Amino acid sequence: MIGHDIFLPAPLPVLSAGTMVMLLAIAWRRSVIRSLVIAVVTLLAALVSVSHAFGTPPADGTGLFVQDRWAIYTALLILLSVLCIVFMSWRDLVRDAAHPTDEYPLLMMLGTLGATSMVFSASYMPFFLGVEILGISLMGLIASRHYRFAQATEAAMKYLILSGVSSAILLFGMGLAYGVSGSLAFVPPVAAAGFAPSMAQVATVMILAGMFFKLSAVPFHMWLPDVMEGAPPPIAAFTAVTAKIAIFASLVRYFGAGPLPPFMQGVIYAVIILTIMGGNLLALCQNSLTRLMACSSIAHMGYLLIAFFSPGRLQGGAMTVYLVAYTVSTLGVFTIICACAPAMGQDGNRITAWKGLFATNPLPATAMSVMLLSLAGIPPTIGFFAKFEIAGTGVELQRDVLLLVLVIGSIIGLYYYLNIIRVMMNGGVAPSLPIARQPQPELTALTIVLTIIVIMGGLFPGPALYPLLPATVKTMPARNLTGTPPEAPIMKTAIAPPAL
Amino acid sequence: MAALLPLVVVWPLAATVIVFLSAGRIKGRSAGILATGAVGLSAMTGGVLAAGFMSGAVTYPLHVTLWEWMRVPGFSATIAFALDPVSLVMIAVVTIVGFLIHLYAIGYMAADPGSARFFGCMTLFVAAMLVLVLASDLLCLFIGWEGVGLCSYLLIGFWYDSPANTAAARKAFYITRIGDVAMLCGLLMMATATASLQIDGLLFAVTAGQLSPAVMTGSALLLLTGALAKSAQIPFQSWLPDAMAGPTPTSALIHAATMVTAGVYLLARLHGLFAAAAPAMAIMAAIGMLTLLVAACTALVQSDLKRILAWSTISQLGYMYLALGVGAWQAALFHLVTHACFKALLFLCAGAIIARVDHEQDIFRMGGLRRFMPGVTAAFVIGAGALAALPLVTAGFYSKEMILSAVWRGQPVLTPDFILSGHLLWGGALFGALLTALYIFRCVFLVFYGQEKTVPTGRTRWVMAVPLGCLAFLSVFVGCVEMPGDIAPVHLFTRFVDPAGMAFHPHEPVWLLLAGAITPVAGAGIAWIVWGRSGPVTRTIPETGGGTDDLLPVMPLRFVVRITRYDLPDRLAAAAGWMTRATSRMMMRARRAALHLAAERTAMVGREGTVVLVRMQNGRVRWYAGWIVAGLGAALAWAMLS
Repeated sequence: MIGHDIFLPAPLPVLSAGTMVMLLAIAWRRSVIRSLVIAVVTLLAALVSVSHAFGTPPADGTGLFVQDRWAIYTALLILLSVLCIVFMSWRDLVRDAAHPTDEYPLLMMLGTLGATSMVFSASYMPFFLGVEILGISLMGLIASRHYRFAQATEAAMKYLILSGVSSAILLFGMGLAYGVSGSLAFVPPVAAAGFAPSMAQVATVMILAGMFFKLSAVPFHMWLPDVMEGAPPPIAAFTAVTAKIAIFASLVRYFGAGPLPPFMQGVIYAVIILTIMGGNLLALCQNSLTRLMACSSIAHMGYLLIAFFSPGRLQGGAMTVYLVAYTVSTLGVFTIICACAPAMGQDGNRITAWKGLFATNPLPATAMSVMLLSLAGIPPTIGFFAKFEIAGTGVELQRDVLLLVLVIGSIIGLYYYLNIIRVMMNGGVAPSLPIARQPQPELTALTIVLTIIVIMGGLFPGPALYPLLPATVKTMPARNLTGTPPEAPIMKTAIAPPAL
Repeated sequence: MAALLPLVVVWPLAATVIVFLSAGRIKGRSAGILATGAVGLSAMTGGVLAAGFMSGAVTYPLHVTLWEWMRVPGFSATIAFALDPVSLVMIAVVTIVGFLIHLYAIGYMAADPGSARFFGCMTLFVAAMLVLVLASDLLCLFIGWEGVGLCSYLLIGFWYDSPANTAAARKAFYITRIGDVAMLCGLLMMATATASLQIDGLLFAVTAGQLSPAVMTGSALLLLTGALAKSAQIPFQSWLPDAMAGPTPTSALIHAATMVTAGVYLLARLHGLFAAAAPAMAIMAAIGMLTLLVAACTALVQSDLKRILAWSTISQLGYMYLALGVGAWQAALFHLVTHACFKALLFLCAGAIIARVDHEQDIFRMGGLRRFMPGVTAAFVIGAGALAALPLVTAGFYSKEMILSAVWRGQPVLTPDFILSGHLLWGGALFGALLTALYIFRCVFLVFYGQEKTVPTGRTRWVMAVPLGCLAFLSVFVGCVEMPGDIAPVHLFTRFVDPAGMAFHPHEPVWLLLAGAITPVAGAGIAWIVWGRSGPVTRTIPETGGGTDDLLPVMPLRFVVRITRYDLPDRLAAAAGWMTRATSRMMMRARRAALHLAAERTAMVGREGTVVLVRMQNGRVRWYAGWIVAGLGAALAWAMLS
């Protein structure tokens, strides 16, 4: 199966080759700038090649990889966000001459490779490899900060252990799935003759739980705030954006864009409610900006899950638009954190350090407000449309309880997002330090570009977003050992009433 | 030509963006010139459009669709502008009066350190108001509606150092917000019924009978609530007098000439919808009637110059609502135009006076000012004459006459059994006209005549004097475009805004016209007798308590003084206050019973939820792993058992 039908989407070999080149270059002589340049070139090459592939997809759909619009779209989003994150980290890495960290771009490339592999995978094997490559390189990245070393190490250790637990669950689920269906295809397993159907269900739930951990859905969310707080801001953005896009794309690929099997509806219903309420309530009392972003990221994953859970005409559009909105806004917030952090101490983590930013530094403060409004879903920004589409999917299928939770969550969200803007506008006391105007053209440019995207997406959603639609998802056909016709459609079309 | 239309909005918006993005680098005077120039450009663009219109180069309605904001199954919203005679009239008012007020403000705000911020907010307001006026889609209109509310808030609280000013700003914002919510509900109601908020489409649906009467009446009432709150009509009247805390040019532009009339404009624009919702019309007329009388009575007993003008604005807006309520939207629009001119004039004069008498606003502490500032006096008297509607020579006379004659013939139908009498409404409106003349000439005589109490200092600069002159000219001559048939058959205005409509002022008894003409003169005469002659008592600062009875020999005058000073309005106000308090107590109890409980519960859930979650988030890896496994177990159990 592997030998004779090689089908490989082009970004994967491109990223692998780039990583190899970078390794060789580092072995020869260390130079952070060169590594960063190689990373950027590799990413650009991967971007260009994103819709190309080597070989032809096997006719029966039994390959390791698949390349449809959804995969291309999410891969694009991943590559672009990593590009942003590279630029975000650039200045810190280059200025830090005493401590050259070539490993940072290297690990980032590896992480990107893992994430890309996840979104293209059509089989458990490349998916699991992708998850692990991403997870392990992320661990290195989290620990990459040499100042405040203890926190960074603690965060990395936590991530290692918990990620190990979840990988074990995921792998066990996959093993069960292979056991009952005899297939590694990336679809919920169908028990072959002679196996209890409940075994297939257990396998599905375990795989789902593993994915929920990566997605940081409540109650599997607790690692995220601790890890993001310990990591440097660009890596926190990587955790919150790139890794989430990859796992959400895989989740959608795994279950397909259609009705879910009935036995999972109750679980997903509960997880969505818990995630939205949990993320928002947790964010309510945070005084660290990175932790707050982590909690808000949890809540946003909850909103995304509503779209995932509501197969209708609007589903594809909602997921697509929401991913863009979330990515752009979150990256924007972290870019501004990176830009303003050096003068604030503590990585700009304490929200009180942002006091009076409107008076001292109006441009970043305005951009930050735009990003926060977008995250909160206020009209002239892209976030409004994203949330609107999500609500649209819920309305279409009359998920009333979920809509109510969405509304309540958004109201709570308004409080903590606007609170940051309030703090920034509050110029009563002079900020702790006058913010040094360091030349940072890349961060300024990135901020402006992201702000423009956010506002244009809100003002002209049609021209800006419709070309992305609809990102169709190709579901893998279910197969099993005996080669009997797939039974999956039966499972997928049975729409049971939601459990709540 | 169509490309010019968005430019009308773009100029002031660009000025705002430049002023705000400069973050204080553009100083007050330059910002003022920039802002004034931008509004002037806007006015010129409007003038070109109007010229094209008159010459027939542009056919109306001129639609310019900027972009489609969203389209989902069952609803679409576009950002589109439309130019028709009604919006052209409004553009003229907003840009020309706005330009003059900006020019005035260059002089008025010269010494203020925050004047760049002031001009930024003012141009933003002009831009928002123009969006509101030009919108061809109610959603777009709502954007402008919220924008002007925001600017109003920012400008009332412009001197934010004083808690009283910020409190006034918040009050205005909250009260208009109640109306905004009602309006949004009305919009959503119509959107669900017609799948679009295009004004043309909406009116077509109304005339074609696609909407059920319940939907029409409901949405009309909700929109009316929004308009009433914006125009500070009863029961939302209390925010406007407090809004005088803002700088005087703001009061002139926002709280007299334009923003508060946005509600009138909205109702005039949607007159087709309201014509089909008779109860809403009757309620509108009744509220207008009530407001114009109550506000005029209140203006009669105020001692703060700006507050008198504020109450007078509320009262004049009451006239407009009365006219809308009897279906004479053309008359309301005409009065809107003349009112914008003379009330802006009065406010700017008040600003010029206040600036020169050391920021004294109490009319009882002024007096004899005509000897020191003859120009301002002349302008104020012209404005007062127009407000009082002195016959023939002022613009206010023609517009008020048009309203009065329309009200005489009107028959607002509340329910088929209960029809308001037009003649009764006419009587009330006429009494209101008497009160109007009384309070504004009281003001004139107290401020400009008698012996001086505060000696003014300084000079009124030319940047402030020129707008006063222009507005005085407009206050006199703008009325010439529309005259009653008995005086001269000039009907330019109604022909312009409503070419298809029937002629106004049909043949009606001449005594109607005469009554409308004599009443203001009588009011001014009474004011002269009571306050103009140097009677020492009525000119002193009023105290609570009597003391005037034996000095005024004529009974009716004593009655008037009693009315104006203490008794009747006081009693009325006290009764109204008592009723308000009682109602609010009742509301309070109801809220405690229901809302308070809900709010407390919500807060409790939030607090407890946060506590629980934060406790879960204790930083220990073993707990985290434990929760993961627990979650997995629960999910497995649920999936298996369901």
